[in-house]
Amino acid sequence: MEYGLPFITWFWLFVPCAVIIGLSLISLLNSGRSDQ
Amino acid sequence: MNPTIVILVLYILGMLSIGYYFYKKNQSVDDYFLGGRSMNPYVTALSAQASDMSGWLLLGFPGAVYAGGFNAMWIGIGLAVGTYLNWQITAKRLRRYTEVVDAITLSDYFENRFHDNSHALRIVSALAILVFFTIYVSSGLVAGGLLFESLLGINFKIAVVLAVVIVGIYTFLGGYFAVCWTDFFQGSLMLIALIVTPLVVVAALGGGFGGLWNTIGDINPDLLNAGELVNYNFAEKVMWTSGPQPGDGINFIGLISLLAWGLGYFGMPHIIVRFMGIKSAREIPVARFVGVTWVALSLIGATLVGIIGIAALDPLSNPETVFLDLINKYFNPWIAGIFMAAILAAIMSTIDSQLLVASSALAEDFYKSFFKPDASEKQLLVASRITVVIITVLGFILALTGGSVMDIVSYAWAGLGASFGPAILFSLFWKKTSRNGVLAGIITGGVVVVLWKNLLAFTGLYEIIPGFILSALVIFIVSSVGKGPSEEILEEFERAMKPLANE
Repeated sequence: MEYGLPFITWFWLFVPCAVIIGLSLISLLNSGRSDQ
Repeated sequence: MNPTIVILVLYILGMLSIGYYFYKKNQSVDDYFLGGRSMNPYVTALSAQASDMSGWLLLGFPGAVYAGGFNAMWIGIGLAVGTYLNWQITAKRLRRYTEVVDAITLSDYFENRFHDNSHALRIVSALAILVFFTIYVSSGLVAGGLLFESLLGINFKIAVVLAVVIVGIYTFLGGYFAVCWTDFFQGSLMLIALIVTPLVVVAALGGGFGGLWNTIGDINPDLLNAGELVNYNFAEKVMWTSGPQPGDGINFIGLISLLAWGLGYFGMPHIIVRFMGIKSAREIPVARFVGVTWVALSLIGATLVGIIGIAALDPLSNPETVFLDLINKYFNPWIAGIFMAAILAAIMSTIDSQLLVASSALAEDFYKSFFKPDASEKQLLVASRITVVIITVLGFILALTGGSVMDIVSYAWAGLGASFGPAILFSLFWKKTSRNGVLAGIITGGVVVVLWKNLLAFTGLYEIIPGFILSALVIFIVSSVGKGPSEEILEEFERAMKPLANE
């Protein structure tokens, strides 16, 4: 039988990780700007 | 000789030489405990994360996913978000505050932050550190025992002794510099192992991830669903049944108990001490990005390791060996040796940091404060090193009493998180927090965790939740009713809120 990853699994596995990496990157880029 | 063992022996010798190099170099207690606050952001970030992630990441957590399917990933999500929030909320402020009040350990920070001449805060926090770190250290020794048992085919108890000797000697010698630099290397190795292993095994199985989901779905489709519960019982030969009743999903208490692991970070002394050792608060954004990326990728990798093990291995008698069995089966012995070294890296990078914090608690907080206030630097270093031996021996005795890596870590994690998390957050963010409030909060957090674990575990609620909430409430209430902090404390608080002159 064919199975796939349910939405609840792939969404919560990847999205929170992507969000925290993205937020850290944004604040890293911003901190560089305010130093100049 | 078995190539896997050759690689592992080389690895251990390499780590011991680094320890010895810094043994010769460490001149002061400040160097031994905090590396003289001179760490660059990359080393700080990887060191914080490698100290955080123990054998739990490579054995305990994949084991939980192997046994319970994707449902166990909620712990990972809680931890990833907790790591981010800890770097975001705590790091910069704690770095500044500990410089303003001249603190090199967590107990120092509490005492100096509240001008506590009675030393009550110092004793209580040192006690909580000693108790819960001894438990935590024993989880690492269990993990080391599993590793050497699997690798050398020796008895588990002898395997634990081997782990004790290696980790003990190495921390005994090195101190903070050695710990930070070896953590950096070990953290890199752990991440590579966790990314490469799932990819190689999926390629070897053929059919890609689509084929993997089909194989697992045929065993039990609920394994693929993060909202469903699955049980695993090898002893009774009931592998992967849905339940308690088929169709029962995860409930609210179950979900928040898994996510609540993330709360622990605010109070983890061996992790937040890394925030104190960074060169300057200005370096924190870089360290945060590196640290958060490392954690997110390694948790996803560890989840996949556990899931893939279901399809790639025969049912395991101990799910916590899933990573070990995968690398033994799918890699040539040389590469397997490197990845086994990654497990040892995870174990050592956490235990060494914990032993270091625990030894600072005993040497600085008890020995210097009570027995020998005029102790020389040399005497303090000796006292610290003796503490390393004592805690290792106690951890060893606990490790032999049984329990899985996951269970032991969850207890120690809850104890530390509930004792110190609210105390750290209140002391950094609420001006009116009082000494008595924090003192009562640390005691409440620790005691509630122990009581809940022993009396109310049947509720299914992870003990960190009641411990954390009650500790926070007690800090708030006691601080509100008591006398407010002195002008001097308020002035220091204001100073720590702004960038320091030397940043």
